[in-house]
This record gives sequence, C-alpha cells and structure tokens, in this order.
Amino acid sequence: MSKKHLLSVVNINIEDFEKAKKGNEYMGDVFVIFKVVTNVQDFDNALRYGLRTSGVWHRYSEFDLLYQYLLHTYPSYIIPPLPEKKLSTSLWTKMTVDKFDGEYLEHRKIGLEKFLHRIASHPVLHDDNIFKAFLMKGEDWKEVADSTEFRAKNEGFLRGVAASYQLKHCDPRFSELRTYADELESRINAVLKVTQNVAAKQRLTYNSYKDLAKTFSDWSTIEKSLGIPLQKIGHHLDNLEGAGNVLLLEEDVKFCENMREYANYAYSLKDFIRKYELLQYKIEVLESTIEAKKAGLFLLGKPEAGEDVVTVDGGKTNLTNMFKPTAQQKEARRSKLQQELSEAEEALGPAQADIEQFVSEAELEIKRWKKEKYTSLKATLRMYAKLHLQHSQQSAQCWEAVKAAVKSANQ
Amino acid sequence: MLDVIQTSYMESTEDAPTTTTNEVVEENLESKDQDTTESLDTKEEMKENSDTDIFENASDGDDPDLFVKPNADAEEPPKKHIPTENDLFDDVSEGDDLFEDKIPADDPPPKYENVFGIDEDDQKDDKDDLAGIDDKDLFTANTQQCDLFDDDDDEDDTVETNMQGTMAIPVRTNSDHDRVPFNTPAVGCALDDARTTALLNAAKESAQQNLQKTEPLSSVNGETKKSKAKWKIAITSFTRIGEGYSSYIVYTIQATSETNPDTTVQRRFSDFVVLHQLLMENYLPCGVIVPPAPEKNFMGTAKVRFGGNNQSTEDQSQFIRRRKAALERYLNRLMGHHLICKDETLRRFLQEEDPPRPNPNASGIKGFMKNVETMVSKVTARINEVDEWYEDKQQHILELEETLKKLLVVVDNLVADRRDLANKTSSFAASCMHLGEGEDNASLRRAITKLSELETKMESVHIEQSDNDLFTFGETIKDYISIIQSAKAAFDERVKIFSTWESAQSTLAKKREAKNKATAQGKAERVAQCEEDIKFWEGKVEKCQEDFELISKNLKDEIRIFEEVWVREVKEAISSYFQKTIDNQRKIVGHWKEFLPEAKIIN
Repeated sequence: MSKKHLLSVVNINIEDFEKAKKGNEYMGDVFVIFKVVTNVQDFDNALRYGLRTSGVWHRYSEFDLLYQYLLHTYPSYIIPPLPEKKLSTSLWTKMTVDKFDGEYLEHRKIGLEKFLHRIASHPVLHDDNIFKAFLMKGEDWKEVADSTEFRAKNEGFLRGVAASYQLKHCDPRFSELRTYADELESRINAVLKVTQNVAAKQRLTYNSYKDLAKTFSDWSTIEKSLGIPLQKIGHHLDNLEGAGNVLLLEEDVKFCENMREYANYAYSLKDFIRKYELLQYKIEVLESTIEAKKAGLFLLGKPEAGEDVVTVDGGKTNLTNMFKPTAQQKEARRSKLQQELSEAEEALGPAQADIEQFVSEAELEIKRWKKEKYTSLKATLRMYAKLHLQHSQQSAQCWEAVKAAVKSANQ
Repeated sequence: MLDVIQTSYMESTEDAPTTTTNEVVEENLESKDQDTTESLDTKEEMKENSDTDIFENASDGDDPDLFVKPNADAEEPPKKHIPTENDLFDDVSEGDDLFEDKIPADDPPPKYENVFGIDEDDQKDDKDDLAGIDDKDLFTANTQQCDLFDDDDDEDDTVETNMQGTMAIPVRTNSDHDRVPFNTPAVGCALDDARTTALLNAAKESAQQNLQKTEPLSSVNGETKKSKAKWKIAITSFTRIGEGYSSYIVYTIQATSETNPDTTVQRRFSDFVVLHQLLMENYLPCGVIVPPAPEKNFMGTAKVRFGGNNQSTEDQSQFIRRRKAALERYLNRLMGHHLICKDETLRRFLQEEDPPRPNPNASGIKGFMKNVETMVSKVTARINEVDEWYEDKQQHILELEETLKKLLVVVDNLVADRRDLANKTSSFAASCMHLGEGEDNASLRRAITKLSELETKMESVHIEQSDNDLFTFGETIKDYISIIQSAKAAFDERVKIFSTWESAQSTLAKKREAKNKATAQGKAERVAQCEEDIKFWEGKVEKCQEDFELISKNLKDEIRIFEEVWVREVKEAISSYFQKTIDNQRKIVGHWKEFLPEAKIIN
C-alpha cells in the first residue's frame, strides 16, 4: 500500500446540505442530507484505488454506519470521530436546537468533512472498500457494508460495555489513555465554551464600534471644521468592526472546529479502549473459567479411595449417602469438566495471542495518533496565532488612521 | 477713598479691562484698591515672583496683579475700568476693614482704582493686567493648560501660571502686603446678606461695564506672559468620614504652584455644589459660561454610604474615582477660565479651612421662586433677533448636545462590554492552562501554557483599554455635554435680560402715557411725578439695554472662547484616547508575535 494518502489523489469535500424527505406526505421522515463530492486529482493513482469523480448524498446515520463498520472491522485502530450525534451537547447553548438550523448544519458539515479527511489520511483505513463505496455510491453502499457482517461483532461489543467495570487487570497504557480521553473531552469543551463567550463579548464590542462609527458620522454632519475628520473616523471604525467580525468568523472555523474535533476524539479513544477492554475481559473470563473448572476437577478428581467426601453432618446421617455421587456420575462430571477445561485452555491461547497482537498494533496506532494530534494542534495554534496577529496589526493600522484623521482636524 | 473712587469712576468710563469681572473680582478689587499705591511695587515684585497669588494681588489692591500676569509692566496703561465697580468698593470702603489686616498702611486707595483703570497711569497698568489676561491669552494660550489629560503644559502664558501666583498661601515673600488669609471675619461679612446683595449688584454692574470694554481677543501682551507660574490643582486623596448613612467622602485638594507653597484643604462634594452655585449666580448674568460641575449622583452616593468602609468594591471605587477625576477637572477648568480664576469665592474654596457658605437667597422660598421664574421666562421669552448669529449658535449647540449624548451612550456600552470581555478572557486563560496540563507532550504543553499566559496579558490590556475608554473618552464627552448645558444656560440668561428690557420699555411707555394723560388733565403735580417716573424708567431702559448688549457681546466672546477652548480640549482628549488605544493595540500585536514562535516549535 502506497504511503500516499488518499487526499493527494482525490479531493473529498462536503459541498452542500439539503432537506430530504422519505415517505409520503403524511408519514415519513424529514432529514438533512449532505453532498459528498470526490474529485480525482491524480488519475493514475485514482484508478489504482478504484476511485472516480463522483458526487453522492448521504445522511448523518450513514456516516454513523460507516463509523461502526470501521470500528468493528479494524479493531486495533483509532477510528476518527463523527461530529456530535446529540443535538444538545454542552457546546450548544440553546436548549433546543433546530436540527435544520443553518449554523448548526454548517458545523456538522465541517465535522463530517473532517471525518472523511481523517479516514482518507489514515495509513490503513483509507484503502477500505466500504469506505470507497461510501464515497462513490449512494444508498447502495449500505448493502455492501452489510455484506461484511460487521454487525455480528457489534453485539459482543455491546456486552463489553460492562467489561470496563469488571476488569481485574488493565494495561496501564490503556488506563492512562482512558483517563486522558476523559480529561481531554472535558477540558476542550471548557475551552470551547469560554471561547464562545469571549467571541460573543467581542462581537458586542465590535457592535459598539459600529455604533460609534455611526455616531461619528452623524456628528460630522453638524460640524463644520470637524466634519471631514469625524467622517473619516467613522469610516475607519466601521472598517475596524468589519475586520473584527471577519476575525471571529475565521477563528470559529479554523480554531474552534479543530478543537471540537479533538473533543470528539475523546469518544473515539474510548471506543478504541473498549476494544482492548473487551479482549482483556474475554481473557479474564477464560482465565476464571479455567480456574473454576480446575477447582471443580480437583474436588471431583479424587479417586474412589476413601470416604473423604464432604459430608453434611460428618457422616452421621444418611443424607450424605443420598448425595454421594456414584462413581459413574462422578466420572461423567469429571470428563465434562475436563472437556470444558481443555476448551478454555485452548481458547485462552488464541485469546492471549489476540490481545498481544492488539496491544502491539494499538501501541503503534496510539503513537501515530499522537503524532497526528501534535501536528494538527501545532498547525491549529500557529494558524490561530497568525490570525490574531494579523488582525491586531490591522486594528493598529485602523487606529493609526483614526488618529491621523484627528490630527488633521487639529490643524 | 470714597471720593477718590468716585472721581475715578467719573474719569474712567472708557475701555474696560478685557476680563469680565465678577463679584469676587470686585471683592478682590476692594482689597486691591487699598493697595493701589503698591500696585507698582507689587507689579515689580510680581515680575520677580511669578507665583504671586492672584488673589493676593487682588486683595492687596494690586489691581494690575489681578488682571495681569504678575510681571506685567506696571507702566502699561491699564484699560479703563468700569467705574461702577467703585460701587462695590463704595460699599466696601468701610469694608476696608475687610482687608485692613492685609493692607499695608501705605496702600493708597487710588491704587484700588487702578484695578479698573481709574487713574490714567493706573489705568495703563490695569489695561495691561487685563490685556495680559485677555481672553485669547488666557484661553488659546491656555488650551494646553486646559487640557486636563495633558499635564505637561509648560506654557508660562497661562492663567494657571497667573493663578499660581495668586493662589498661594498669602505669604508673598517679596511683598509688603501680607495677605491675611481670608479667615478673618471680615471676609465672612462679605457674604452676609445685605452686603452680599449690594456687592453682587455692584459687581455685576462693574463686570458688565468691564465686559463692554473688552479688548479684542487678538491682542496679547507679550510681557504679561512671562511670569505666569504654573498652577495646578490636584485632588490627592479621599477619605471616608463617619459611618453608615451619615458618612461622606472628604477630598483633599492640593493647589500647587511652582513658586508658591502648596495649599491643602479638605472638601466634600456638597462644598463643591455650593461653590458652583455661587459662581453661577455671579457669572451667569454676565454671559460668562461657567465650566460645569460634576453632577450629583444619588445612586453612587448611596452605594458609597452604605458600602461600609470597605472601599475596595468595584462599583464604589469606580464611582469615587470618577467623581474625584471629575472634581479635579472642574477645579482646573475654573482656574483656566480667565475671569473665574480670580474669583474670590474660588480662592476661598481653595485656601480657607471653611468652605464658602451658600447664598441664603438661593435656597428657600426665594430661591425656589427665582427658579420658577427662570423656567417660565425660558419658555415664554422670545427675542427678535437682529443678529442671527445667536440663533444659529444656539441651534448648533443643541444639535451638538444631542449627538454627544448619543456618543456617550455608545461609549458607556463599549466600556461595559470591554470589561466583560476582560473577564471572559481571564476564564479563557484559565481553561487553556487546564488544557495544557493534561498534555503529555512537553512542547505542546508549553505552547498551550504560553497561550494561556498570553490571554492573561490580553485581559489586562482589555481592562486598560476599558479604563481608557471610560476616563479619557467618556469623561471628556460628558464634560463637553455639561459645558454645552452651561452655554445653554448663558443663552437663556440673555433671553431673560432681553425680556427684562422689554418689560422696562413697556413700563416706560406706560409712564409716558400716564404723563401725557396727566398733562392733558392739567395736574401739574402728577405731571411732575410722572416725569420723575419717566426719567427713572428711561434710565432703567437704558441700563437694560446696556445689560443686554453687554451680555450679548460677552456671550459672543464666550462662545468664541468656548469653541476654541473646548473644541481644542476635546480634540486633544480624543487624540490622546486614540493614542492610548493605539498603544494598547500595539501591545496586543507584540504579545501575539511573542507567541507565534512557541506555536511553531511543537514537535
């Protein structure tokens, strides 16, 4: 597999979203669909990957399906996260969000696009056929996905939810990662919330500038000598306000969205960890089964010699005789236990092998993910700083212009 | 002295000194009067000692000192002062008592007359005094001084310079006049009722006379500029007196000058209110625009009162800070006004332990009735303007006020929003810090920590900017609005005088009619009486006309001054506001520049 990631071969964008309806007028579902457009850049490699230029429409649940598919098909990889499923998360201050709200949909669109990009740039995931089908086929891709029967693995997965609470032993790396994931989510959410507040306040300030600009303009109409300078001041303040709002917009898209993605990664990480836990759980179950069977065999496995059977009352009554298993019965049970024991022992080996493989792969994956994270965050912070720097320089210029206008008035 | 004064009065009916006199000035003149002979000496002394207290000069009867920069050439012909001022002195001539202590024995009364240019020679001095103090001098030159946000004006040629001399503690080192502080009961007398009224009237008249003879604004006497020492008023501290409901804040006012020792007094806000009241009474009828006083604010005061001694509450301290700044600006503006700076009440306010007492006429029923009368006349009075200038100006001023009010609202919003922004930024910084802690990658963690630090710095910049918005910009606008209101009041005053004039005219007409009737009826006695009446009313009409013309003229001048001075001041305030904003903005740029490399080195 070439190291070239898909994104160098094709451009994947979500260009648009629309309302769609299923069913007739009286019954049915109204939902939003997103247009996924794939543009081939590099035709040669695209053919190799089996990709063509296409534009298909998918709704959110289809994205979710893709996520589930990838989750179960590639156990030892961290699957990129989807944007929030629920409407009312902490990031949205409104209590009830209209699922057709333009701004909300914009954010969702960006999140879904990022999701696709991350998959496309993942060294393993990008080559998945189902993913390609998703990109190129409309609803049909679901059939393809179902045919892989990934859902079967889903059930085991659900069972594993309780697993995390029953683990006796957990690889420290994973428990660390889990703690990290939890904290990351809460922290980033806190930061984002505050950022929103700050942005809101900034917006108010910029509105004030706008009002100020207007007032200055009005003032200039009644002044004689001060007229022109005042108008200039008004003009510059208007610019200032415009620049400010642009900044806020860009900040939102470039910085907040990235941060949001990482907040979502928290649940991706959790899913990933759960896979490990599931495996570990399996092993532990097996181990305890083996222990139990062994113990049972031990109890049973004494040869007929002696009456050292556990009696109820020390042999005084005849009850024990009633419960005393016959040699035949004992033999039956013993062989059953033996069978179970050997089954378990047999299973244990592969299970342990499984988990070992998982752990080693996961380690690599975690490393990769971290590296990716650093690069992304670095780019984000850099861009954030640049944005602000540019903006503050622009503001400084505006203010200089204002002051110059006042100065000219003084003369 | 009375005779001398009278003669002087007769002689000097010509040019009035450029300064608009007021009662206080007159009071000063009283004392000055007594020091007339010394005026020459004093002048010379003044030349040397630029810090001579203007009021000292005044009270010493050094008329020239009062109106001229201390180093005015004593030989310069003073403007002819309005003789009417003599009335003031007439009244007070017995009130030599007032200044008795201060006036050295050699003070010849005629010198007093010099204040108003009664003697030819003295008049020259006075003229100089006044010339030195002519409006343009004081104000245009003083614009810098008047700029309260720019404290380093070093122009000698400023009222403050003048003021320095006069405001100092009455210890003129090189003067023979030891000005006794106005603690003497004699001064107190000046403000008691009968005297006050008489004084006020006399002062008014002489002031008006003076105003009539105002010199053109353009003339500046170079010599007089020299010895104006710098004079600045600062409120250095404030303390709470008392507890709970009856507590109040006392401000320590320090009047500083380069050459004279500082004076410090304690005043509370109500003292300021009284001072302003007195000044308004004195000056408004003359068409002078009195700088606006800080307004009462019940809410703020209540907060301060009930807030306990813990003055660290944000609201409280901001309220007190704002008020303190406003009071400071107010006092400095008073000092910057070429006439008011010599005002006796003001001087007392700044130097005496006991603050000036309110005019009894102002309060109580009389005052109330007067207010009602004022209000009514405002509504009903109309002037058939000969000069459209007044109407235009008034219109312009009203529009300006409207605009400024809107501006103020916007600025207030801006201030509040920015404060909020600062708060939110600090939460942002905290969240960032928290985020950074969770990262295992050292460079990433450092980068995020740096971001958090940057945001903290941003917070302080925001707070600074918010303060800037408020104090530099907002307060200026507020003051501008207040001065416009003062100007409006002056306009209204003019209207009032006009209506007085009109009513006098109509009364005259009636009297004439009555006379004609009586003549027709052949009642000789009545006729004679009517003639008397007519004469009286003719005089009155004439006087009213004079008043009106005077106030009109003064108003014009004042408005001109106002426009020059205030516009200048506002421009400078706005300039400095923008400058500070720019500085803050540059700081922000610097912060982000610092941060950028940090973000780059994440590995």
